[in-house]
Formats: sequence, C-alpha cells, structure tokens
Amino acid sequence: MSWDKSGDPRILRRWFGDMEVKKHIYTMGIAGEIFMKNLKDKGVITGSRCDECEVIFVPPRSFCEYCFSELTVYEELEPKGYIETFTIVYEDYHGERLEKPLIIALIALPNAVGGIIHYIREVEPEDVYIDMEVEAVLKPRDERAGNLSDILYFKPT
Amino acid sequence: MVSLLSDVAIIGVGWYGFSPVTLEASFREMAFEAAVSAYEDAGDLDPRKDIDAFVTCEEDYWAGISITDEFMPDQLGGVLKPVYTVAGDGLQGIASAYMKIKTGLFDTVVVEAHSKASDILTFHEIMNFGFDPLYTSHIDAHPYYLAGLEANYYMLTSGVGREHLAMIVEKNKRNAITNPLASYGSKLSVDEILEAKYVVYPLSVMDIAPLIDVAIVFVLATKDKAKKLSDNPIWIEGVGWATETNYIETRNFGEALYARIAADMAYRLAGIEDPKKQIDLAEIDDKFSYKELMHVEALKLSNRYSSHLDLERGEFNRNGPLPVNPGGGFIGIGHGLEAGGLIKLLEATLQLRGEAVGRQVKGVKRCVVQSWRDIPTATGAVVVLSNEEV
Ligand SMILES: [Zn+2]
Repeated sequence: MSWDKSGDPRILRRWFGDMEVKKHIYTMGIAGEIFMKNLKDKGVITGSRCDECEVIFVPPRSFCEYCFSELTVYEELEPKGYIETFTIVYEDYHGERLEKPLIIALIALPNAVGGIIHYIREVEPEDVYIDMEVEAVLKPRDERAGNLSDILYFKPT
Repeated sequence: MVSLLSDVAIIGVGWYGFSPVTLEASFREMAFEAAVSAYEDAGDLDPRKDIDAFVTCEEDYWAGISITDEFMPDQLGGVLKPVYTVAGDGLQGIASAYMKIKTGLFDTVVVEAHSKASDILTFHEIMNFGFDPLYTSHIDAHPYYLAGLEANYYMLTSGVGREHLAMIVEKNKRNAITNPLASYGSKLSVDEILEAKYVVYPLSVMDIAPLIDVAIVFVLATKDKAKKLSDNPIWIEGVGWATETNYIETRNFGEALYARIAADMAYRLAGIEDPKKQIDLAEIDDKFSYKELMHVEALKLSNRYSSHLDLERGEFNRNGPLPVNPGGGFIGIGHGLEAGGLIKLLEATLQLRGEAVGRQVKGVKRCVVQSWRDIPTATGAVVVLSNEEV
C-alpha cells in the first residue's frame, strides 16, 4: 500500500472519548400534543383521519402520507387491539443475556392503519402469538405524565 | 429520441480494511489508502487535476464527530473542489454521482464510503437515536427488536421457516470461505446454525451480519473518459432509490417496498423487463438473513412468497442459475455501515471484470446490486451493472 504501518499492537494507540449528547427538547407538535393529552386525561389512543383516503392513522399525524392532505380530524380509540407482529428480546445492548426476556409487539387497533409499539406482559413468551387480542394497562390517572410510558404495557384480554 | 446524456462507467475501484479491526490506521488514512488504489486502478489519475467532484456517504453518529463531511476532502484529493456528503448508504452516493455525470457538467466523479465500526463502543445505543423520539422512546431495548418484528411477520405471511434463514447463513458463510476479502467465512451445517440462541426472536446471532472496518472508493466517468482511461470499464445501466414512511407503525412488514420501488426505477433505466432472465448475478442486502429473501422478492428475482422455495432448490448458490451473494454477502464478508452498498458494488464489479478471486462466477454479463440503510430505516437503493457496452 501507500505507506508503511506498524504491525505491533503494543505501540498502537487509541484515545477513548465521549460523544456527549446534550439535553434536547422534542416538540410534540399538533398531533403529538393531542395524542399525549388524550392518553393522559382519558386513557385513550388517538388517531388522525384522512377522509380522502378513508383511513385513520395511529400514531396521528397532521398530514397524510398517501395523499399529502392536511389532517385535522382526530378519533379517540379504545386502548385495545391485536398483535400485528411481535418479537422477544433476549439480549441487552452489549450482548448480555437479559434475566427476563422482553416481549415487544406492534399492536394494531381495529379500523386504524398503524398501531402502537409496546411491551407485552402478563403472558409467557411461548404463549404469545400474532393476532392475539391485547389491551393496555395504564398508570393511575394522577401518575400519568403525557407520554407513552403512561401505558405500562399491553396484556392479553 | 436521441439521448445526449453520456453513459456512466466505473473506471476505478480501491479499498482498504475488510477486517473486524484496523488499529493501524484512522478512518482518514483508510480512505486515503482506498483512494490511492482507486486512482491507480483508474489509469494513474491525479485527483488534484483529473477528478471533477466527490461524493462521500456517511452518518455523523457512527463517526463520533459531527459534520463529518468537513473531514473528508483531504484524503480524497478533493480540497477546493465540489465535495458533498450523502447521509446514507454508498449506493445512494453512486446514484448521486451518476446524476452528476448525466448533467454533462462533470466528467469524473469519485464516491467514497467507509466504516470504522470497531471505534464505536456503544453501537446499539447509538442506533436507537434513529427511532422516533415521541412514539418509540418508551422502548428501552436492543434496536434489533425492529428486525424481530419484521422477520416474524414476514416469515408468518410468506411461509419462510427458521431453517430457510439458516440456509441463507450456511450459503453466505460458505461462499465467504474462498473470498479473500471476507472476514466471517465458515463451514457450518444448517443444524449447527439453528442451535444458536435467539438475540431477538426469531433471529439468532447467526442471522445478524457482524461488523467490519473498511474504506472503499469508486471512480465514475463519462463514456469518453472511460474509453480513454480504462481497459475494463463497467457500465452503470440503471440506478434507483426510495424511502418509505418514517412511521414504523404504518410500514408494510411483509414486503420491502423501498427495494421494490428502487429496483423498478433501476430496471426501467436499464431496459430490463424480465429480471430473472436478464440478470446473471445478484448482490443483495443481507444485514439480516431474512432480508436477503425479502429483497430477492422485491427485486423480482423470485416470485412473491417463493424465494425460500428457490433457495431450497439451490438456485441462489454460487453455481446455481442465479447466484446471490456468491462472495458471502454481509453475513460472510461483514457489514460495513454506509460502505455496505459499495462492498456489494465492489463484489459485482470484480465479478464483471473477471477478477473475483476465489468466488468468480463464469460468464457474468449483468449484475444487480441492492442495499438497505439498516435499522430503523426503510430506505434502499439499487444499481444495475454490465460489462457490455450498450
Ligand atoms: Zn390521504
């Protein structure tokens, strides 16, 4: 190659550094505000409707990914549905086995496009299946903060 | 209609690394080494005089520094010249360079991408930064959960079993053994592969391509330049790329739409109507084993829901009618972050030149190359290459 290099690993140096991530504010936006407020206050999932495409999107957004319409109509949906697909996570970020595997699912809501990605509990991993009916287990109302952790997990109905 | 736009050729390739660790060189030195090789391969070019523009492909978050574009010109010979970065896979950079040449304003354009994955100590935590902060940040788990969700759905709807994923792993790791660029070749039986523990159901560590360090540089040129400079130009017949919705909740987990749309675009430009018949060899993104099957279907190299049946029949083997990843794919060679697409493009280029030592497929005239931008994206690119002038 174009220049000589050391092949002696004892003299090769690296420098350990941090790429710091400073604090950041994530603006929820119009649709996000409505979703989180409704979850906190009413314990419901909110979708946004596109009349043009005749669909309700969950999570809600202010514009349609299909037809680019502005979406202004919101629908409140019961926090229950079925497992569209699921996985079981056995390892942490660094490849260590988890003491208790995590079940994570995409929960589809009837009549809506999309759904909510969340944990599934109160069921053993081997008993979970696609199409299983599940419902949200919410924090008590006065403990909710207006984020998706207000739903603790979903469980079989 | 007569097209005034020049055909685009690959006239030089160079690389450095292809190794799980590269302690001896920084990412800048790796790119320099790859560039020196590529310019020599392209007919002893001097980038200070002979290259008109440069495209690099990288994500700041893998680099450990911000605005990595600014770190790239020097080692490519690109200082004081047009340089920009595509924050995406190397094939997206190739598509960008292809368009630059098609404008008629640039005769020679360089594309670079690299991976210094061994420098990243918290790879999967960083990957989680790519997820939606509002609707998925309550999930504190290995980001490959998204691959698990997709694989489970795809397998259930298409009839693909765990044994088919193991067959992909077996094929790619075996192909890699004789590829001098591959780090992860091995001879494992399907049964041995199936014994590995799940990382994220239904995927084990075997189904996940391991990382490598690598830098790759391509030199692209107009037809006129290519004929002057190169004895073995490889022609880019078509490029395509596409991105699906950012909301992972509304994506279709059963089909790689991003790859299908990218392929349709590339095939249209290349005049390909029957990919199964007109393509001799495919380099397909296999960052996860199941993705190879999904992508093969998206590229219309198998019918929908039947790629695993073609796999069973050995159709994708190196000596089969349509070799897929005959050099080992990412599972056998290693996953090179944004250089991933260029790893595949390099494999195809070497095959078309007849220089694919240890994994050469006979009589290859046209290849399709496809890449995906990894978790959590639904972005893909496709390039069609030929060694025959149009
Ligand atoms: Zn619409």
